[in-house]
Amino acid sequence: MSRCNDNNRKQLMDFVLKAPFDESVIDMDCKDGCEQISHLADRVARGEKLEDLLPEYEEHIQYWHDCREEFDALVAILRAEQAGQLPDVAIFEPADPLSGQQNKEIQQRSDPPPSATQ
Amino acid sequence: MTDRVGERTNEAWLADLRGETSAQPEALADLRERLQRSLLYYLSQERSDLRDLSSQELAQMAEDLSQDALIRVIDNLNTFRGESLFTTWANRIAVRLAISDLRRARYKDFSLDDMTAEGDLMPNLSPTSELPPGPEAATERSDVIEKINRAFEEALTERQYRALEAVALQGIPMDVVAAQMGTNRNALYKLLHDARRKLRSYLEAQGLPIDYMMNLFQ
Repeated sequence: MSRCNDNNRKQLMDFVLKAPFDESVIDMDCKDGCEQISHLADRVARGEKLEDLLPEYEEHIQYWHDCREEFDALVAILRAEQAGQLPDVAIFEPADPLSGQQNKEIQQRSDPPPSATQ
Repeated sequence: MTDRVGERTNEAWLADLRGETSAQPEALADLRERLQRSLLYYLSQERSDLRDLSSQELAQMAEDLSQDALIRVIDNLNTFRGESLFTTWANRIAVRLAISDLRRARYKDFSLDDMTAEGDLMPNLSPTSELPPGPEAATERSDVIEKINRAFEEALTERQYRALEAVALQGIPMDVVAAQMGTNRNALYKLLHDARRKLRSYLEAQGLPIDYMMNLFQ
């Protein structure tokens, strides 16, 4: 077990004393498909400031680093997309004999059930 | 393909992907390509820890992750309510999946059990050279730090302490800690919150107000 030095003592006590616990924000974070966070990311990628849009979420990600990593990653991708900087995957298309089979399985998952089409 | 991807509305994406139109195969291919490009960008440009991987390896990772992400997006289509751009929503699913995968790989040898097996359970919050001068102040600080040490020992369950140390001190990702504890991220949040609340209550009962402690650790 590691022992605290000066820096991580402060880090630990800072976390214990100050980290926010906002249940609505946590509920947002725990959902992979949270549209509110997606919408925030869109706006931040376009230049708006998170602390102006949802200060509770900005405070949350100051202390909960996993959330910050994920949010920053999404914003980075969106900015790259807006700037036309996403790489062309055609160049890197590897030969994968399973791709066709996997695509069939994916299509079957998204097809509506038979009764819905009658 | 890229231009057609950029033109779909949320409603068009949903209709196409659900097979309500004849464009389902094209929509699936477009979405997969979009996710793959996003993930390849992320892996190649935003992850310094992957710098040693070749372009082909990164491309393969992006391909594999985008397939998994596409499945997850399709499985969750009915939860999308149109409150954001569909493509951003899909990208969020993909990037979280990628980050989770990378975290699991990075911490595959990590064990919560090993954290406590190395020695004392409690952090040794020892006085530092930053202490104010004077014997009385030094004694006061030592007393406070001793109370904090005791708080960790007496106020928390072992489970709470291990979670707190892993996340707050070691920086272990919550997903990794949650998996090792047999729980999920949401429950881990609550566990950590309970641990923090107990520590604060304990310390306040020892005559250490929160404001005082916050100033102490500035």
